[in-house]
This record gives sequence, C-alpha cells and structure tokens, in this order.
Amino acid sequence: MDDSLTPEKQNLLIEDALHTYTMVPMPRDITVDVMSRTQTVPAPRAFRLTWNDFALGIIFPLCITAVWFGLNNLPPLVIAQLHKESILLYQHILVNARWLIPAFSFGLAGFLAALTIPYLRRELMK
Amino acid sequence: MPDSERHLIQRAQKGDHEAFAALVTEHQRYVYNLALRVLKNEEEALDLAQETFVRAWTALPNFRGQSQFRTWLYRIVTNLCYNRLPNLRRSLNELGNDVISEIPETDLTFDNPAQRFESHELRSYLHKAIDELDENYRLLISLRYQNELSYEEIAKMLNLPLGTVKTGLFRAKEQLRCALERYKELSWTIP
Repeated sequence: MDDSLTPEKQNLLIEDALHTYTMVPMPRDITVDVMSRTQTVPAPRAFRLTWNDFALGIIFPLCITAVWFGLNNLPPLVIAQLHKESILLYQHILVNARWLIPAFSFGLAGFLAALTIPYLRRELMK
Repeated sequence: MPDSERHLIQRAQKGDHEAFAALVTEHQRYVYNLALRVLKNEEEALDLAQETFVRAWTALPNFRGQSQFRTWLYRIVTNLCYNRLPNLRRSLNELGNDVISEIPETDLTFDNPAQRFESHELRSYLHKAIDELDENYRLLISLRYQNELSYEEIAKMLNLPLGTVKTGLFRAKEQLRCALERYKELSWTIP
C-alpha cells in the first residue's frame, strides 16, 4: 500500500467497491415454494363483494323507504306533535346541555377513527 | 416497464398463477439480494423473499403501475425488514439531512499490475466493510448501487426526505473511508 491514498483516490476506491458490490446468485429457486403458498391464498380480485355489502345494501334502502312511508302516512296531527317535540328537545339541549352536541360529534369522530385507523395502518404496513 | 411484464402483471391481477410464477422467477434474485444485504442471513433472506411474493400476490390488485413492479416489490421487502428489524425504520428516520457535499461518482482505472492487484485486495476489503455497516446503510447502498435506484426513487420508496437518503449514503461512504484509513494503518504495521 503506498502513501498516496489521497482523498480523491479514496473516493475512487469507495465508488469502485460500491459499483462492484454485485448481486449473489439465488441459492435455490423459490418459485415453487411461493406458488405453493399462494395456492392457499385466495386469488387476488380488484373488487370483492362480501355478504356485509349485500346486507348493508338491503338494510339502508329499507330504512329510508320505511321512514319515507311512515312520514307520508302518519296523521298530520302526529307529524305536528313530532315536530314540536323535536324543537323542544333541541331547545332543551341548547339550554341545559350545550356540551352534548360537540361531545356527540367528537365521540362519533373518535369512534369512526378507532374503526378505520387500525385498518389503514395495517394496509400501509403491507 | 416492458410490455411483456405489464401483460404478465395484468394476467396475475386476474388470478393467473402461471403469470405470477413468471414474475417470481424474473424478480426473485433482486428481492432475495436486497433481503440478504439487510438481514445478512441466507435462510432468513430466502424466507423473507417468499413472504414478499406471497404478500405481493394478495396486494396485486392495489398495484396500479405508478412505479416499476420491482420497486413496488422492494417496498414490500423493506416493510417486512422493518417488522424483523424494529430499529431499522427508526435508524433511517434519525439520519437527518445535513449533507452539503457528495462524493463524485467516477470510474477507476489502474495502469500497472501491482496497482491492479492492490486494488483487487482493497476491493475485497471494502466489500467486507460494506457488509459490516449498519443495516440502514446496507439497505441504502443496496438500493442505490445493486438495484440502481435514483436518490429520488429511494426517498419515495422509503418515504424519507431526499436529504435523508443523501445523508445516509454520504455517511456510509464516510464509514468506508474510515475503514480505508484502518486498512492503511494495518498495512503500515505489517511488514
């Protein structure tokens, strides 16, 4: 080793070592192993409908239809009574429990976040 | 991305096992090498390579071709490495981005056989020094030099600032420079 290991030569040697730090060959082909493992995993599908989707797809329209029919078929006096009670309830909340609406909103947001964040984290870690 | 590969990916996305097998055969060497450089264990690297492809199979519908397929596989490899080496992600994040200069990348030529022999010896020594670097540096070096990704691609893949990637590579080279100094001292003490 000579004394002339200048910074420039060091750079060159390092670059040379990095560029010649080549890949090693595979000790064995893993294709068969991978394919046998993927046989047990369902084939990927871009869009997957589950029973939950069907259930929600039926329940939501049913609820909306029931409310619509209910409101259209209730006697006008009952509707007026419901309207009055809802206004009174809203006023009651505003006067006696102002904290309830923000608490409910934040609570709902927290609940939805707790449902979605773990799933998103899992997906991001994939 | 070549058309043939795009075609294979599209077929695999529809559940074609043969197409996916062709992709595994094509890319396994790259995936294995990246895992090996980080984990430094042949069996673990093989296991991680297999797991990478199994995950790729299940996540294939999410691949939209915005990056190279191989880069996408590297992302899965690094995520699996994060699981196996809990300190890896933290050590990458802690690199900071205080680099102000970069070592220029140039070709090395030697005129005489003695120099060439010495260079060969030094090269082997430096390859060992690379193997002994910390796992975060080995990951960056493998992505940059073995897999020839650009700084930007590495930063995007590892979800790190560009400066952090440059800092990491700069520091890795600094450590190799220290190794060279040690080599020089050693060669002086041994007659």
